[in-house]
Amino acid sequence: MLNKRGWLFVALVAVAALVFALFWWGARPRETTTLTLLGEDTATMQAIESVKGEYETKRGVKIQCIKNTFEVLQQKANADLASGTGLYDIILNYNFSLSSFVRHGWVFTLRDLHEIDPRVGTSDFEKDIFPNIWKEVGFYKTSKDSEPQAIGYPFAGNTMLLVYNKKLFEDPRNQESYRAKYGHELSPPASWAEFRQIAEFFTRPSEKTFGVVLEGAGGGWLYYEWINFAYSMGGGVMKKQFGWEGDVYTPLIIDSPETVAATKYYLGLRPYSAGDFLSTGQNEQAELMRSGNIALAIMWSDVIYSLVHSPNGGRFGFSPIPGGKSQIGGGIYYFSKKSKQKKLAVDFVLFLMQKDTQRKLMEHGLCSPLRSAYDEPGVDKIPYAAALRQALEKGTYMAEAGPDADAVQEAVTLAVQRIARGEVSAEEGLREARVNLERKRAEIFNLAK
Amino acid sequence: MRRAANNRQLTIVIVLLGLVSAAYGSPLLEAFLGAGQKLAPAINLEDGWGRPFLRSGVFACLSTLIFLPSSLFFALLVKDCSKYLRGFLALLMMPMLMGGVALAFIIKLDTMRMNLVTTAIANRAFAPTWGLMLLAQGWQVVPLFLYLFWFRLQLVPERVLRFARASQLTPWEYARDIYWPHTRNLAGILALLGAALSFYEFIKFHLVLRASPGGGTELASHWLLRWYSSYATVDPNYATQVTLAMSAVGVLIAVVVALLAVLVTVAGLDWCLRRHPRALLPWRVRDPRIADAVALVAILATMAPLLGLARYFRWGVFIDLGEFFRSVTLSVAAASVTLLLSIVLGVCVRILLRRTMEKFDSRSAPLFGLLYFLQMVPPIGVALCGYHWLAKLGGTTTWVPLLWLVSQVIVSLPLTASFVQVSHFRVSTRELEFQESSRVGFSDLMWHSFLRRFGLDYGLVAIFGFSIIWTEATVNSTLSSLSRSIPSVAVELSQRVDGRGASYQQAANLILVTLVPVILALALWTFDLRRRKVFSDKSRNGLLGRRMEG
Repeated sequence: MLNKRGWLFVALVAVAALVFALFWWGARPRETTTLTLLGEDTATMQAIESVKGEYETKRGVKIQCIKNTFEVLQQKANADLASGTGLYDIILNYNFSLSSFVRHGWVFTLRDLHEIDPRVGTSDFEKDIFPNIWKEVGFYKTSKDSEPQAIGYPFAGNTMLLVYNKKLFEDPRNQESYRAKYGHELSPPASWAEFRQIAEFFTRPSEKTFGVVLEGAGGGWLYYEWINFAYSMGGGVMKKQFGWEGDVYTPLIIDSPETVAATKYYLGLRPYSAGDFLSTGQNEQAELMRSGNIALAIMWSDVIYSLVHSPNGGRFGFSPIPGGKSQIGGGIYYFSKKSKQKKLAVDFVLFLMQKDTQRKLMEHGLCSPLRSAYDEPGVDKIPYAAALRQALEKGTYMAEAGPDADAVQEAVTLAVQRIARGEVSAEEGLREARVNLERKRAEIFNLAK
Repeated sequence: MRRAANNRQLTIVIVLLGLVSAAYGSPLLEAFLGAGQKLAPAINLEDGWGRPFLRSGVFACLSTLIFLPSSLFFALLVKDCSKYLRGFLALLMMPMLMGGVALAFIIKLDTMRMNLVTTAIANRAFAPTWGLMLLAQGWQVVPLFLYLFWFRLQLVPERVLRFARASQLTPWEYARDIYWPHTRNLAGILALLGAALSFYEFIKFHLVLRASPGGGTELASHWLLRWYSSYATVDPNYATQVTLAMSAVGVLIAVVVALLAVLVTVAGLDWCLRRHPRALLPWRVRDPRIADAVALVAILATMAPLLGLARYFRWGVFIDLGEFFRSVTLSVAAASVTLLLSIVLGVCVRILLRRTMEKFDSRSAPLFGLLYFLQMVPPIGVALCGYHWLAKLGGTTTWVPLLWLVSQVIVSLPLTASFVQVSHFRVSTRELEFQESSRVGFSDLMWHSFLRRFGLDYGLVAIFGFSIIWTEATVNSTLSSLSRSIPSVAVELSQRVDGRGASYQQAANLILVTLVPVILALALWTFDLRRRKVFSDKSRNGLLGRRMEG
C-alpha cells in the first residue's frame, strides 16, 4: 500500500502525464489539408457548415468553420490580419471592415484573385448578385482617387424584415374590433401610421399582450432599428449613396427636422413595447416574440431562420418594413493575403456561390445574395423568402460602413437612449450628437489617412 | 536577503513564477510605455474613461463594504447549524463556481419577464438599477463568502473555545475575541477578491442591463471594449495598443481601489467589533435554532434563482460527449498544475517572507495586490495579451495547447495562490523558526507543516481552480478554435447566451452540462468533510479545530 508521500508522487506523475497528453494531442500534425473560415455565429455560418461536407468529400480536404460572437470575431480577425499570422484563410466579415482591411492591404481584391483563379471575375453568378447589395457590402476604393472595385463576393443579402404574429392578426375578434376602431381591415402595416395604430391596438398589459417589441439596447441594436425609421421618413445620419463612402466633409443630417420627427415617432412607440427597452437586443426581442403575445417586431433576416424553427415558429408572418425602403446588411468573404491555401479558398467560395449550393444554403438559413436563388424549387416553401426578396430588391444604404461606422452607431445610441430616458429633448439630443460626431469624425479621418 | 540567499531554490521558484506572469502581462506595460501621445484621445474625449472608471470604483467599494460584513454576520449565525444542513451548505459555493456567464444569464431570465423589475429600471433610475446589480453581484459572492467564513469558523481550535466557555464570554465577546481574529485574514483576502471581481465586472451588467453610456450603466470593462471596437474599424493596431495601455492604467486604478476597499472594510469591521459589537450582533450567535433557520434560508435563497432555467430545458443531445469529457479532463489537468504551483508558491512565500506573510495586514496587502495584478486585467486586456503571444509564436498552432495551459494557470493563480496563502497563515512564524533551528529538511518541513495539515484547504482551492478554468471564456475563446485539444464548452455557452447565434434553450441545457462537474466536485468535497467528521455533533463548537490544527 502506498503511503501519503507515495500518493502525492503518483498524483504529480499523473498531472505531468495529463499535461503531456494535452500537449501531444494539440501538437500532432493534421492529416489533411484544412481550410479555415472565421465568421460570426449566425445562420450564415451554420448554413455553410451544413453544406461543407459535400465539398470536403469531393476535394478530400477539411473545412473548419470557426463561429464566434461579433466582438470576438472582430478581435480575432484584426489580430490575425494585423500580425500576419494567416490563421484564417477566409474571413466572413461585414462591410464596415472594408475600410480597415483594404487600406492596410491585408486582403485580396477580386482583381488580385483573378490571377489566382481565372474564374473570378468571369463567373455567371456574378451577374446574378443583387447589384445594390454587392455595391454596398463588397466594393471599396483601393486608393483615394481610384474607382471603387469589388473586394469580395457577398456571403449573404441581409436586411431587416417586419415580423408579425399571424395568430393575433388572424383572430376574428381582433379583426372585428380593429375594424370597428380604425375603420379598415387588420393586416400587416404598409405605412408607419398603420404600424403605430396596430402597436397601440394590441397593447393590453393586463392581458400580457403588446403591440411591438423594440430594440433599445446599446451595442448596435438600437442603431440598426432606428435607421429604418429615420431613413424611410426622409432623415438619417448622412446623405450619400453607399455606407462606405464619405469623408470628414460629408454633411450630417442627424439633427434635421425629418430625423427629429422620426426619432420622436420611434420613441413614441415605447409605451407599446414589451420588455425593458434599454436592455432589449436581438436575442431578447426574439425570445419575447417567441414566447409572448406580441404583434410586431423588426428583425434581421439572418435570425429569422432560428425563429421559424423554434417552438411556436409557425405563428409568424413576414413582410418588408413600411416606408418603401429596406436597409442593406451583410458582408463579404475576405481572402487573407497571408492564407496558405489561397487557391483552395477561392475554389471553396466559388462552390458556395453556385446557384444549387445557394439553394441548399437557403434551406439552412442563408439569405442568398443571388437573385435567381429565390426562383429555385423548394425556396418558395421558406416562409420568409418572398418578403426577403422584395426587401432586397429595394434595399438601399442606411447603415454606415466607413471607418466612422462605429462612432456613428455609438453617437446615435447615446443620443436616442438619453432622449428615451428624458434627459434631453429630441432636438437637443440629436444636435449634441451632431456636434460630438463632427469632432470624432475629424479625429477618425485624420487617423485613417 | 540572508534568508533568500540561504534558500536559493525557493527564491528561484518565486522569481520564475513572477516572471512568467509578468511576461504574459508585459504587452500591457509595453503598450503603456509606447502609447505616449496616442493615449490622448482616449483620455481627453468627452465620452472618456472618467465616468465608467469612477462607476466601477464606486461599485467595487460599495459591494465590498456591503457583502463582506453581511457574509461574516450570516456565517456567525450559521456557525452551529445542524449536521444535516452542513453538507448542503456547500451548495452556497454554486453561484461562484458556475461562472459569470451562466450566472448573468440566469439573472437575465429571472428579471426579463418580471414587470416589477422592468418597470423599476425602465429609465435606469439610480436606486433600482444599482440595487439590482448589487443583488446580482451579491448572489455570486455573498453565499461563497458566507461558506468560506463558516468553514474557517469550524477550524477555531478547541483549546480557544474551552477557554472562552470557561470565561463565560458573551456572544459579542465571542465574535470580537474569538471569531473575528480567526477570520480576519480570510476577510482581507475575500475583500480583495470581491473588489477585484466588482471593479472589472462585465457580463452581468452587459447581459442584464446591456450596459451603455446612454443608459448610464457603463463600467470600466465595457468602456474598454467599446473603445477597442470603435477604433478597430479605423486602425486595429492603434486600437489594440491604446486598449492595452488603458488596461494597464486600469490595473493601477483597480489595485488602488481594491486596496482601498479592503482597508475600509477590514478596518471598519475591526472598529465596529471593538467599539459596537452589540450593534452588529443583536441576536444570540450560538443559538442552533437560529443557525438552522438561517442556513436553510441561505441555501434556498442561493438556489432559488436557478428555477428560472426550468422552463427552457429540453431533452436531447446538444453537445458532443467526447468533447465534453476532453474539456473536463483538460480543465482538471490545468487545475492540478495551478494547485501545485499555488502550493509551491504559498510554501516558498511563507518560508522566505515569514514576517511579512504571517497575516493579512498592511505589510502583506501590497504583496497580495501584486499577486492580484492579472486578476485586475479586464477581459479585453487578457484577450489582447493572448493574441499578442499567439502572434509572437508565429501563429503556429503547435504551441497553442501550451499557451492555453500557461494562460489558464496565470489567470487562475491569483485566486488559488491567495487562498492557499491564507491557509498558510495558520503556520506560525514561531513554528517555522523552530523547524529551521532544528535543521528540519525542506521536504519534511513542507510535508509536516503544510501538505499534511492543509489537505482539506487544498481540496477547496482545487475546486475553485477547476471552476475558474472550466467556466473561463476569454482565454478559451481566444485559443480554443485553434486546436482540437482546447476545451470549448465555456465558449459554446457564451455564444448560446449572447451574440447573434444565441439560443436560450440550448444555453439552459449547456448550463446544466457545465454544472455536472461542479456538482461532482462539491459532492466530493462534502464527502471529504464527512469523512473527516466535520458533520458529526462532536465537531460542533469547534472540536474539529483541534484535529485540523494537528
